[in-house]
Amino acid sequence: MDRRPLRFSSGGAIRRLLLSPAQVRADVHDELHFHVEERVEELVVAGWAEAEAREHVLACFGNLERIEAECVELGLERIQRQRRTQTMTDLLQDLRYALRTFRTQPLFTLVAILTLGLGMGAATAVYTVVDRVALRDLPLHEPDRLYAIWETQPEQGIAFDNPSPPNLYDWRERTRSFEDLSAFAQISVTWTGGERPVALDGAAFTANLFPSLGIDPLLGRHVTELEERPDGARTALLSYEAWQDHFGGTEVLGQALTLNGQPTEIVGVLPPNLGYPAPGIDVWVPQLLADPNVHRQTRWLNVLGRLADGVSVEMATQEINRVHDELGQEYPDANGGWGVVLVPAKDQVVGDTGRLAAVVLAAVGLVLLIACANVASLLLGRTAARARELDIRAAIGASAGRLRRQLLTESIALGLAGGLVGLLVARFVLNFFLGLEPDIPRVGEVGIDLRILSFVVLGSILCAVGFGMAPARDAQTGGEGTLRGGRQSSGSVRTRRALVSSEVALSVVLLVTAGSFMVGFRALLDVDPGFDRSGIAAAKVSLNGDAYPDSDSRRQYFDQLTAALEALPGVSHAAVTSTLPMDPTGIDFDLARYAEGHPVLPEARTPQTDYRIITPGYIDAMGLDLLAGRDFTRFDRTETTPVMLITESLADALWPGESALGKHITLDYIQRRAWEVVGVLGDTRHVGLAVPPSQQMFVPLEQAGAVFGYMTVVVRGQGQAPLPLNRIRDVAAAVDPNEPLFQIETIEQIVDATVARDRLVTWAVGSLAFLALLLAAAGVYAVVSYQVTRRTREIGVRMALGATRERVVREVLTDAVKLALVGVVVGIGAAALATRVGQALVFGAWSWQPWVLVGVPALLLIVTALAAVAPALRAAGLDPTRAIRSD
Amino acid sequence: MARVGANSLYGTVNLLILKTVASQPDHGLGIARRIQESSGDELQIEEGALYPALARLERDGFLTSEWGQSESNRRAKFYSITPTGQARLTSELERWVTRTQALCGVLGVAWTVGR
Repeated sequence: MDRRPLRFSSGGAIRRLLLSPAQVRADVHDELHFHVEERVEELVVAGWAEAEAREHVLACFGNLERIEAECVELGLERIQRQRRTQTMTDLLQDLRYALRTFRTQPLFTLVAILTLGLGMGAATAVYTVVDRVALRDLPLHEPDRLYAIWETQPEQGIAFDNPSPPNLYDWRERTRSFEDLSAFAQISVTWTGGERPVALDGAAFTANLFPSLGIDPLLGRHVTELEERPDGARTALLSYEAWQDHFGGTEVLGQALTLNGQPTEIVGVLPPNLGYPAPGIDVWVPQLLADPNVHRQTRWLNVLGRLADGVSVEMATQEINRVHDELGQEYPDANGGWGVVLVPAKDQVVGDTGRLAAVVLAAVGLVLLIACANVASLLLGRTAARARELDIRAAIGASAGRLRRQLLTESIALGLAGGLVGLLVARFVLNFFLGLEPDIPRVGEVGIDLRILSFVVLGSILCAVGFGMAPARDAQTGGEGTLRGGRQSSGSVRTRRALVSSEVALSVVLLVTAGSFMVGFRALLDVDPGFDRSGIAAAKVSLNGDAYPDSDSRRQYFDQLTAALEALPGVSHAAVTSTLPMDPTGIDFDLARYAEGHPVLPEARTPQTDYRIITPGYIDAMGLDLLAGRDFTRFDRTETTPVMLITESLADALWPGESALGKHITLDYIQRRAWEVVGVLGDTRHVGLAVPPSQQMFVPLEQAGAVFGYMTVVVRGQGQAPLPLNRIRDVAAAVDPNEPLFQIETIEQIVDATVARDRLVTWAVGSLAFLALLLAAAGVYAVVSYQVTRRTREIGVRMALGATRERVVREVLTDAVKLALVGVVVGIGAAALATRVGQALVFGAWSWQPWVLVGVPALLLIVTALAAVAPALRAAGLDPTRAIRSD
Repeated sequence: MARVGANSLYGTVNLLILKTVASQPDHGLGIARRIQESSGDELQIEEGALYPALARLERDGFLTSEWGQSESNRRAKFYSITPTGQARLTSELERWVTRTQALCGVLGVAWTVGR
């Protein structure tokens, strides 16, 4: 017998409709009920009584309720699975449809994805850098408990001075607030014993430094406190980079290297890419506090303190200041009037980078806004056409939810693509940025991580979804209008115009900012530092303490060196100085000075001035201005009157209105001597181009109380000829092969390095402004083009009625310019506001340059007009008859 | 005659059902009757095993169902086999044959496969 069922349900033609749980229950009930009834009927036909038949059948079933329940549960699972499969199928279908849509509108898709990608990518790159460099906690153990400790002398206006070793000892003895007090100081280390002596960037430190920071060596062990002592074993830690560079990563633990003439055992290698407590140090030597007789005024340490458990920074500051006051009373000469200040470690490291980072972050935020506005505008432009299509689909049976899901899938696909492009852009920008090797603290910590990845992709998707769902709304509310065809809501055009105007406004803000940065930076570069920048080279020397144990031997060496250098062809002057302007390394300190005609104060309260040692010819080598008097000569020697050169600002401060020549300044350093001022120099900027010149004193090498082993050699070339840098190295080797010259660079490079950060920010903001301009131009083009398309019929009518092509072009252009004008006006206003806020953040003086105020609007109007040219020409090229018939 | 419950011959219930439905779509009662017939009245599937098994097979996609009219003009749920179910039937059958042959080997019973 053929049991094929007659088709009962209507489904199956298009797709199966899912059952509801209630239907499932009903079905199970009906199915089991059918079985029961059939069997009962069968038995009745066979002669059973109905009641008994029913009883028998139900007994056969056993527990009918249980069976029914089990089948219902299975049925529910079934529809769950079906629902899941259906969703997957729908999703794939949506995706295929979305891709098809994108293929039919390649330009739109490409522009949307690129815009999203550029915006998100730039924002991500900037945010990554800012986050790692300025926002994140330092990668140290409990970094919020770490503080940098400085001495202050408010009376002299000294806000941060390095503590001295004796002070550190006493703090360690007498304070309870700190779990650890550690310190380090940069020194130069010469490694001999290889082919040729190598100069390393070194640092002396206390044994508890790395444990306090929470940094463990990669290989080997920490140094011990015993090794800190002058009589302890000589050990050192090597940096990872130095280990790789100089030893190729081979076994180095336990080896003894001759550092600064002393055999030193390498007991550990530090982790790679270590930026703390100071970057770029090759070797760490625990001999920081080895000399017990260090003068209390030798302020040269970098001190770090870790707060003890339960101690607040206020408590610690109070305690250490109390101790320091006691020290001030016990040692009034050295410590009188000095205090202590604690700076959180993060602030110490990040410094003012944070402010600059904020500026660039704000700029990229604007670019992101512009990009989003562009994407919104693009998506809105599709609204009209899409709305019609969606209405048709609704009419043939698609549910609102289905349509919404379709749009959602499209938007997500677009957003995802944009996000991926964004990732590529971000990676490219970051690699480029890191390749510049910018001199920013913590730059080694910059890298893309999972958080950033998700930020880009999610942000892009959110953006696309937010704007892409507009057609769905329109389709639902404006249903009757769209199907009539042709006439669309002009609301979307108004919105698009508003969006573009906003973009223009934001671009103006960015361009004005960038322009001001550029002007400011240009001004910075134009600052006269007081010395010549080109044609001069400098190099460092660090004399071995054993080979040159006293000042006389060192003097002799430097005399020989300068003579040999001056003898080189191509060199016009050579000199030596204890510290070079704008050079962050080197021995630089100030001394208390007692000026003639001024009351004598206790040493601790006496003003301190920069003290530098130079050789005759330094003035000529550096191109300094000699305003009065004379330079040092070789006749200024140990036996003759001690002489001194001072800078103009010092002369004016000490003896205003008089000539400083012949006056005396007394210094108490090594010995107490009165120095006669024989010359006044023009002020030089010593710290940076933006920092005002400081008061300076110079004494000749021959007469200096103590001659340091670490000095900078300055060599000036003749005329325009390039400096023979290699020969300089050779000459030094000839004088003493064991004392290599290192860090050979030109003054130009040194000065450039001081403005590197400002240059970086200027370039960053400039690039962002340019990007903003491009995006805004694209936005203008899109809207104008869209308007031309929309009004094709109208244009056709007008041309048929006599309007010339020129007239049409002019109208399109004028309209575009009007659009931009609104944005420009708003933008200038916003820029003015922003300046107020930004004034504090920018280096140098931010002034309203007139050409910025005129130039930026003009630039934008020109760019806008250019962007509108293509659509304008298209409008002019319309064939009136075809245009009228178009829809 | 053995009443085959859910526990005995576990898994074979599915095989019996699939084979029966494969040769002709049917409702639950019909499937049970035909199994009894084909087995020469040796096997009778318990209702408590049959319907959950059918529900499970449908949930897993091996069977599909439609409501139709039985010969007695009542509304009944008819099951038919899906392509996935067909494949499953083949593989289950092969496994059953292999298992049974192995069993016969152990028990020392001769057995030939026929269709």
